Amino acid sequence: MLWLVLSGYLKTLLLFFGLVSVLFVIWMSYRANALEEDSLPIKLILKLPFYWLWLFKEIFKSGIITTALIWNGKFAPQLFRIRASQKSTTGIANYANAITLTPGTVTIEVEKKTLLVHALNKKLSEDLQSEDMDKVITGLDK
Amino acid sequence: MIFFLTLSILGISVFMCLVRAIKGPTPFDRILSISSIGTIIAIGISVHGFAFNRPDFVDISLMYVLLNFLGTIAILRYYKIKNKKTNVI
Amino acid sequence: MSYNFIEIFSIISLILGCFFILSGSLGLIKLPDVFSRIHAAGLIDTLGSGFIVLALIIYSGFSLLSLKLVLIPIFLLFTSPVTSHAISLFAYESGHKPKAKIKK
Repeated sequence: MLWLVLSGYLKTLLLFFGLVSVLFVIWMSYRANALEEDSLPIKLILKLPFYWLWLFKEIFKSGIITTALIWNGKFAPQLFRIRASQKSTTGIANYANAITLTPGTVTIEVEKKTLLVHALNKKLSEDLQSEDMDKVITGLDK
Repeated sequence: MIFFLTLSILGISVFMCLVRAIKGPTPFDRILSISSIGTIIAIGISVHGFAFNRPDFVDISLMYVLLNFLGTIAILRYYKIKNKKTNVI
Repeated sequence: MSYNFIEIFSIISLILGCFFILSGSLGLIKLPDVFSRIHAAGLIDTLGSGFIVLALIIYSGFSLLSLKLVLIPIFLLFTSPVTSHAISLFAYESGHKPKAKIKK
């Protein structure tokens, strides 16, 4: 229902006009039946900060591995396919974004349910193939 | 004082990206390194604003990040259309 | 010269961010092909900018300015996977096969 109250500019005392315009836009889109199924549900918003914290930890961990690899000079890039077990398209897009965001692994191509992933090392690809990230994002989806 | 050290390190890494942008074998290397230069400069603008006690530069830096993203996508799109392939994005 | 605790923490974070940016741009030179260089660019985008902005937030104290500073890595976090995925997809479709071991 309220899916656009996310803009972060609380700058001056113009906040009142912002509130009025947000209410106006919500009223207009409610009147035009533009709210469909794939807007943000409220239950997801409660889960989202934990997911972000987990993602920051994951980025930090694999970033250290990638930095050590760059200074080391011993890289053996690998290319493999992985299955995504999410139901909705939003879940698959979320999963691909999370893979790309952690340094060391990049999603190259998304077919229907499988992702083509390029990883920089054997350990990074084994981390990805143990499907921890898959489970977390699938749990986010419900 | 530490901010000037940071700015010099950012300058060194901009030059290192520029080396890859000049001698990159494929066009994608050039696009990638130009995008990285944009990110480094956007961080450098805000560090520069803190170094000279004028923190208003943060707005400019924020706008620079978004323009960098738009520019990269536009160049990729142009390259794609020029190659007469199918439009994906 | 006497630094208090906050400034020391900010300086450590700044140095860490500089180190990540420097190693990312070293990786841009050193790595062998396009698909590997994307990782180095992602390293610059996420960790380097994150640590430097964290240092600036700690240095400036928590005010309205730090809210604006938080927006920079959030926008980077949204836009960086899109660019790297687009670059890798176009490079893959226009015929550059990566030098990598393919395994199922």
